[in-house]
Amino acid sequence: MAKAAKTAAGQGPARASRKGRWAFWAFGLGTGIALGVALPTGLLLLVGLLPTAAAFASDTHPDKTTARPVLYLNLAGLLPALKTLWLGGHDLAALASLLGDPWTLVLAYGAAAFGFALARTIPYAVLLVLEARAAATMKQLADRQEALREAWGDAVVEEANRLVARAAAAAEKKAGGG
Amino acid sequence: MAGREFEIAGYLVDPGRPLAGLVGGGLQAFAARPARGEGPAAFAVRCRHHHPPRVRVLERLPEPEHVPNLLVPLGRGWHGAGEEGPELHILYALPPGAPMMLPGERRAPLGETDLIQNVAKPVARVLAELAERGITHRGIRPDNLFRSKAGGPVTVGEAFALPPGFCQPAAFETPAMAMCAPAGKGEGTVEDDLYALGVTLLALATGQWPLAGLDDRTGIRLRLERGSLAGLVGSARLPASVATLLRGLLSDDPGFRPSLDEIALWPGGARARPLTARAVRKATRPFDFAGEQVLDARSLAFAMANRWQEGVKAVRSPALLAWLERALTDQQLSERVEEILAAESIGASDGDLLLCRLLAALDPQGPLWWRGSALMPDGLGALLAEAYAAPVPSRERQRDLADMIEAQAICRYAGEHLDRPGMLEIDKMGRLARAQARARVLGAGRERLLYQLNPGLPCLSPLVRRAGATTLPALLAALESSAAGSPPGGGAPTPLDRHVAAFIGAQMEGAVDTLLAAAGDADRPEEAGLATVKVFARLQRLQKGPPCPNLARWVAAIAAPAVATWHGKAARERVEKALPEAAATGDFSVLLQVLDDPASREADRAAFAEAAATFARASAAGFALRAEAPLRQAEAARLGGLAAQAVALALLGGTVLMLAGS
Repeated sequence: MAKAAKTAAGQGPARASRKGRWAFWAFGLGTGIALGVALPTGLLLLVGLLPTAAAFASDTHPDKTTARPVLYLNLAGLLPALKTLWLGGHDLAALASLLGDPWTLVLAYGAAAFGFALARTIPYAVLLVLEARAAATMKQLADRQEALREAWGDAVVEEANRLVARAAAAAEKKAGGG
Repeated sequence: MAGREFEIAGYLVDPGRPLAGLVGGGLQAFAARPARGEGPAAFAVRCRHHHPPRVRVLERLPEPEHVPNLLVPLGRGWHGAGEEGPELHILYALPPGAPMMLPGERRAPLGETDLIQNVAKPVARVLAELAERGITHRGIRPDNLFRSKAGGPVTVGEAFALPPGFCQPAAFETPAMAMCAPAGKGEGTVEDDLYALGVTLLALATGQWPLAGLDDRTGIRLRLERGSLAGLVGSARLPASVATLLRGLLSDDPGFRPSLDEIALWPGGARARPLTARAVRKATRPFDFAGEQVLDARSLAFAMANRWQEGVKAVRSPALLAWLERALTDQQLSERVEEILAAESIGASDGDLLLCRLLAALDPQGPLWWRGSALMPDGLGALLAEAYAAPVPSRERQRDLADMIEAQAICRYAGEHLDRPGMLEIDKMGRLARAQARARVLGAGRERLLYQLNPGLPCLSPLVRRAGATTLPALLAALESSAAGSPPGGGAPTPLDRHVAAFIGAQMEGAVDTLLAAAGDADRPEEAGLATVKVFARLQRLQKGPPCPNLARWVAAIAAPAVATWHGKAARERVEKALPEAAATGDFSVLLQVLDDPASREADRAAFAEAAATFARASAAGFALRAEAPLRQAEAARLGGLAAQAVALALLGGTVLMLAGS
């Protein structure tokens, strides 16, 4: 029984690990194909998508909420270089010329960094909005309570506390009975 | 005021013309005449507060035409204003002549026929008429029988302006009644009236006042030792028919006294059965009680009762039991005394109750003795009135009576005399009196007992004492006058003090007891104030009393804390504002409507409940919001991640489109 529980508990991380390995091998296979079929493009991708690889490797979230934006923007930053490579003959010389231009990698890596920044800042912004909404609701409730206290005095607080205590006791009793 | 006539029940009473010899007990009688038209010449008896008249008897008396030989009140009313307030005056028609004999007087003896036909039979008829209504007279004595110089049947004088038997000299009472305090004799029975008639006949037959020259105690002891007949008649020579009648009337056993019907047919009925009395059981040797030699149980009880402290000491003496058993040879009494001593020795009962029980056992016809004073249990009310309502109330007497009630002496007395009629009622009365005296809530307690047992007693509250209020409307009026002062009631904290509350409780026969108790709850002033208003509102409504603005203002001030019983601030402000206006109307129902209007009160309660529920819901929502902070963080991470992916994807798409277009 304990063994089964242990196995069940270990299934989640094991599945994630398998998925990570699969992604790793898929990425390696893709890169291999790219290097084999289109060596300059493959080399450009290999060098240009290093931040993405790092992001996927470090992102432990099952949905890869950080790695994906990094991937998308890393790719967007590398697209001008890919276009130049493809339109410029698609050979190693063109690749060398491109990689020799510091703006190529600055653009790709900078875009990846922007993607990383997006992935990290937007949740905070959302949290700020949610907290602001909650705070506004709580203030409304507090204002309502203050108005009630003003109109009915402290007795209303005592009565409300009594009601809450009674409800809690009833819930406890129900839970105990169930 | 002396000499200035005042009107009572259609008669003008002249306080400047006192009349002697018409009433006893230290009361004053004044000449009276009809105020309008014609009517019999009359006299008015001025009653005393602390010796209350027999109000219940006055209400049940027959019409004068049914008892032509009795002075029946023509009317009554209150008059006077002084330290003790107005006093009750009872009006009677003047009797046809002078009293038959004055105390201590010697007169020519009446003839046998005159005695039977004009004294015994008219008095018996009066007693029979009263007995039909369950009333005793308790004032049959020669100086209270009147007749004109022309002779004819006597007229029986008044006996209702004082507690029953109050004016009766000891010689005209049975030994047991004669032992009692004047105010504590109780209503008694027709047999007591018959005994008094017997002594009266004896006095008129011999022309001498019975037991003249002897003090009351000696007279009682003489009758106990020798029996009433021998003690009273002595060696006097009496006509045969009168002697036979007296032998019955003066019997110490009430069962041997002739009935009223027998007297009405006398001497015809006398021969129907012999009338004789049992002899007093004497001991073979005297019992030495503190130097006093006694030969019979009743005399011993009387001696011990009169020397209470020595009696308490002597009660456990083995000599007493030995004397009862060996000298008196009364085995039954000896066993009963032994039982009492054994029962009382179990607990730590004080000697007063032990002696009280012992005396009741020794003298089966005797009164209830307590600390040297005797009473018949139904005379408790008048004794309480005497102790509380006297111009200078006796604290010691009050304490003695309170101790007697608390010790259940009345119940114990009834328990010793279960063979006597009415003892179950006496036992019940004793228990109720104790329960009432023990009660501490407002409207109950000793004060309530006082008013319950004395329906005609004016309210003794310092607030209204001078007003002599004996009815609820009079009490309301008196309280209104008292409240008009500055400060109201002379600074008294409330118009509903213990006496006023007890008076109201007794008059309303328990209908407002709950409200009175609430009005006295000092721990809950808001409820007390509201209850006070309710009491007066009910009083005013039931009595259809006039407005009492001063009293209402006073009560409104007391009820001010009741404003706090309203939940809503707006409602409280409304009530506070309306209170003075309502009080100014003097109508307590208006005051109550402002303070406790049921519809508004219900609305206030419902709104308060809703507000409390809303408050509770808001609290719960606040708690929930605070508790959901981790959930919000997770949600923000999820939504933020999705948003970042969407933005990144959009930028990627835009870049593709831009590059494709360039």
